[in-house]
Amino acid sequence: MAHGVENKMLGRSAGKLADWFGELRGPLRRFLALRRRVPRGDVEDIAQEVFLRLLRYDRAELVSDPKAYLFKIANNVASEWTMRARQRFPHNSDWLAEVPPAAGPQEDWERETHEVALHTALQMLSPRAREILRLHFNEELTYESIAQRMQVSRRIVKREIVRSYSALRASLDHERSSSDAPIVRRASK
Amino acid sequence: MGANDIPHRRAHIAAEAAEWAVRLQSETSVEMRGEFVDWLRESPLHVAEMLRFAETAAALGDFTRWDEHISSLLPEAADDNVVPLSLYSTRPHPSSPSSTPVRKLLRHTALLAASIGVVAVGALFVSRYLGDIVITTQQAERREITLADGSVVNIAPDSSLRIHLTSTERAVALDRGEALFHVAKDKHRPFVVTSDRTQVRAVGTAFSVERQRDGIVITVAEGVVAVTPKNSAENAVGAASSVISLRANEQLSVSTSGVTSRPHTIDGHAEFAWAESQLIFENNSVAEVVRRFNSRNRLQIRILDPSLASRPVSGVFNASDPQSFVSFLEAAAGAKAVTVTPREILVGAPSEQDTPSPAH
Repeated sequence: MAHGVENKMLGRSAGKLADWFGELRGPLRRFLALRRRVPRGDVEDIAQEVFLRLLRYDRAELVSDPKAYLFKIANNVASEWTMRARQRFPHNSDWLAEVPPAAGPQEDWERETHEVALHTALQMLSPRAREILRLHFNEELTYESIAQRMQVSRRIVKREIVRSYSALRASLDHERSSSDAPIVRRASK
Repeated sequence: MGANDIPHRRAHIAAEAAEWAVRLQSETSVEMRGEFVDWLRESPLHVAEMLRFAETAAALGDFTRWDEHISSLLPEAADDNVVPLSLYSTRPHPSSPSSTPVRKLLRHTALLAASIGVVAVGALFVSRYLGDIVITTQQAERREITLADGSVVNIAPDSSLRIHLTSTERAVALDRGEALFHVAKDKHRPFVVTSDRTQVRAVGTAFSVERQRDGIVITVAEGVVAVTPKNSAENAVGAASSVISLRANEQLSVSTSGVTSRPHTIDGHAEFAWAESQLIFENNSVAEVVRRFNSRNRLQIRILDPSLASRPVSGVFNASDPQSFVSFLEAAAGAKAVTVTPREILVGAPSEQDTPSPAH
């Protein structure tokens, strides 16, 4: 199963899922990078603001490409939020600046804690569920290819993704909420 | 409706977000995209969960320790097919969301049971006062009761109504506040709600009547009701004595002086959200939003700045969480909030003079 790793090194083009990831790696990147550093409440506020802007858009326009709009708006809100936060905490402006993801020790450390959390959460899943997640999100295979490889139906692949995500979401959230408010505590650990 | 519901709801929305992501991955028709847009525009929680999904998807894509997980997978994928499924379903993570159909069903059953509990208490309460029933709710208290005829009345906080059931008529007088009526069909006994001498008559339908300081507002969720505004004979205006029929998703107001507005179309979902402890606003003034929160909670919000009070607001809020609205005002409008006592929050003007546009 080493081809998974190779595949990653080769890059993610190869006519796979340009879809979520095309947008994810683009405008949403900054939002995601920022998101790891803002307290959870703020993220809810960002979502609230994104929601309000979605309401103001013309429905027909949104329908043309809802995901692109969602991420574009999220990105805009996140950047504005960055600026606002910079004004609010002038001494912290450096870490909220528009850093490209994965730059500096702070970023590495964040990434590391995130990886550990994800690792732990993934262990709660069945091997099959993990494999489907890996094939889908990491190797970016289509449902069809995953279904063939795992010898299950497409429907099961989809269902498993939704289920596994729900489980991940719950355990990640659990960890976050137990180590969230005390950002300070996390840092001193 | 305890705090327990909230994580459950979140988990449910998280699963919905994942379902949308999965659906939108494979095929996207205009209809589906439209439904997705509508779903997103239903609640900020939907937006939040969609963004979270994207976040986790990206994290899974970037995850560098997959090989450690791969090693645990047996090479014979075919044999594996059966075992992990049962493994997965028999050992759910303690805090994992219950998204399987069975669990969903259980949860719904539990919810149903809970609401039946409420109804049962309500029915007991009602039977004690057979004849003329008076029901009063306090601030922050919401009550749902089932009447002897099977109709269900959802009573908003700070409301008072009298119910009189006979063999020929079902009469309700709304003296204060707001109530939502799900009327059981009974052709021979019209259901009539009277408030400030305006009558609303229904046979089998769902509608709400709200008594405000300056008049009453009638909103129809399902079916049709007949509204007889204050009797023109008692009115100097002498104009609108005729019966007005109001359909689903229409609203009508009758002022204290007897002036009747034309029926206008409203978003029924938003209007009745209070009965499900949500408050939904679209371009309502801050003052109006605050009034809604204050009637539902002990914690009272006071807006000190008139220009802030008149600013329009859109959004969905948890009716029992006024603090979230205050935080929203702080974040979105730059307002300054001061908690004076555990029962009162004062909200002052934004520090810099903002344009009176919707929250940016």
